[in-house]
Amino acid sequence: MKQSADAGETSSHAWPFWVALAGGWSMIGFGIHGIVDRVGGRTNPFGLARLFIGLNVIHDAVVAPLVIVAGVVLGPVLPRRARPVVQGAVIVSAVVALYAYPLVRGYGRIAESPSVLPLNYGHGLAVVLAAIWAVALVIMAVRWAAARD
Amino acid sequence: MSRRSGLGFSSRLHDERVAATLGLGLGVTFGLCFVTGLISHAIQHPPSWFTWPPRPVNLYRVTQGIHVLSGIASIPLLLAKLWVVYPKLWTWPPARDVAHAIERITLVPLIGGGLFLVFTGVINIQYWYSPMPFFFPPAHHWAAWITIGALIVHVTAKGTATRRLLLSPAPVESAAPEGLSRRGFLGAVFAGSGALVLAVAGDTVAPLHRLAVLAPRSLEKGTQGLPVNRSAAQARVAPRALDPDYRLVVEGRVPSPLQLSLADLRAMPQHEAGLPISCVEGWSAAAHWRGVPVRDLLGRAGVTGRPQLRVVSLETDNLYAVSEVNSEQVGDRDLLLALELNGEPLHLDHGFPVRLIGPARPGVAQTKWVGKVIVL
Repeated sequence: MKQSADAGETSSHAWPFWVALAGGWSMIGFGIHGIVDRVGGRTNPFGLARLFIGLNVIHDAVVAPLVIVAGVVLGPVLPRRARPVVQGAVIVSAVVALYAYPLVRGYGRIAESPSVLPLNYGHGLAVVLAAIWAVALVIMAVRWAAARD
Repeated sequence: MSRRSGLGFSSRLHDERVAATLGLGLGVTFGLCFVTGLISHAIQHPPSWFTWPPRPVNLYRVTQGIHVLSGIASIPLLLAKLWVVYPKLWTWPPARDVAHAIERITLVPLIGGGLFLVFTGVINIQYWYSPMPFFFPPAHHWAAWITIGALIVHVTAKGTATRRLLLSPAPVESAAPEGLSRRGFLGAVFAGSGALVLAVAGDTVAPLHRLAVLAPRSLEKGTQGLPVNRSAAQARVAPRALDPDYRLVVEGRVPSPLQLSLADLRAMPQHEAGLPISCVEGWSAAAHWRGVPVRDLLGRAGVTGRPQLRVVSLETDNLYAVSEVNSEQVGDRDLLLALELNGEPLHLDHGFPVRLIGPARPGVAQTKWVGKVIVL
């Protein structure tokens, strides 16, 4: 495949790489030691490793393919001229919604501490999304106007 | 020439130059997070050679604000970067030689660690603990060493190509794009970082507080106009804190140990200081405190010089019920045992009868409901 040749050109494995490899893997070893050693306690190495690897797998096996499928399905549906701006707005909306999801669901609320997570986050998310799409509409309008001239 | 990949967003976005730009952004945000994270760790677990200064008073507020906001800004950068390089996951053969194989194996701690740090950091400031079957601070700390170690390997392998790509002139993109251009894609990703930061930063950058609709705190919401991290109800501390026989104990290496009632403390000369509560979770709020300078208290106990202190809360069931104060901070006139907040007697939620408040200290070390000051 062409891509593997492309990938090769961007990596350099001259001597600095081997120095960095020794230093970098020493740091990795230090981190693993800290987790397994449990001096500070309560690191739960197996639970930690599960989440560490799990997030990697969930991203590669679920999130990335879903994003690609969403792109394949949604892309052609959009009018050609609106497509770039809508795609951009979808990207911004998606990351904001992803960040806000646990807040909106109220997972972290503590009845005894009302100043923790004190806002109406559903409302907050709606406001941010509205601002994002308002900006997107302005950009589209400007582009259409420019294309007419 | 169009390269058709069948992927939804146009395939030209799976591009080395886009990956390099996002990589540069992530290098900056992760680098800031690592440095500020190590600072926060050293303040809370000081090695012998490290003394965190009490001045400027907003120092921790700034370093920890940078830590949390850089982490949040990383979310879109990291996801976009992984998406851009995703086709490489499936290259065949998986490695050309031994060096390339080692480089690719190092991507496991890099990507796993990057996702782990951003995910746990975000859900920790959002108080959503159930996905974490471990104690967050040491897990986040050790995972950072793993991730940054892997990042050093990755940056060294990719550095030359990244510099070459980013310094060379951008290739001209077709005039009639099918979808997002490379610039448009990068613009959207960085706009995502900007939108998130703007929606959160107001819980530490006061002028932005009206924009902070997705912040875990609101500067206006809290007892006496100040957010509360751990309420008295949560700490189950009311019976001891409200006991009329309450005494502040000063003991340890002191010539004359003290047991002072609240009236005794109020009778001592009071000092005022404007100091922020700077939470390790990234929010911070300025407030006005009034109380007894710790220096004066130690003087009354016959202590000379600047010893280190251990301050113990009346609260029992909390890892953070004890804090330590280094000798530089002990010497600072603004290190107070506060009795008043914003012109009113301290509310129980803010540590009545007495709380520790000092310059440039993490909020978690501003011990509330102080029962004991031990001179070390």
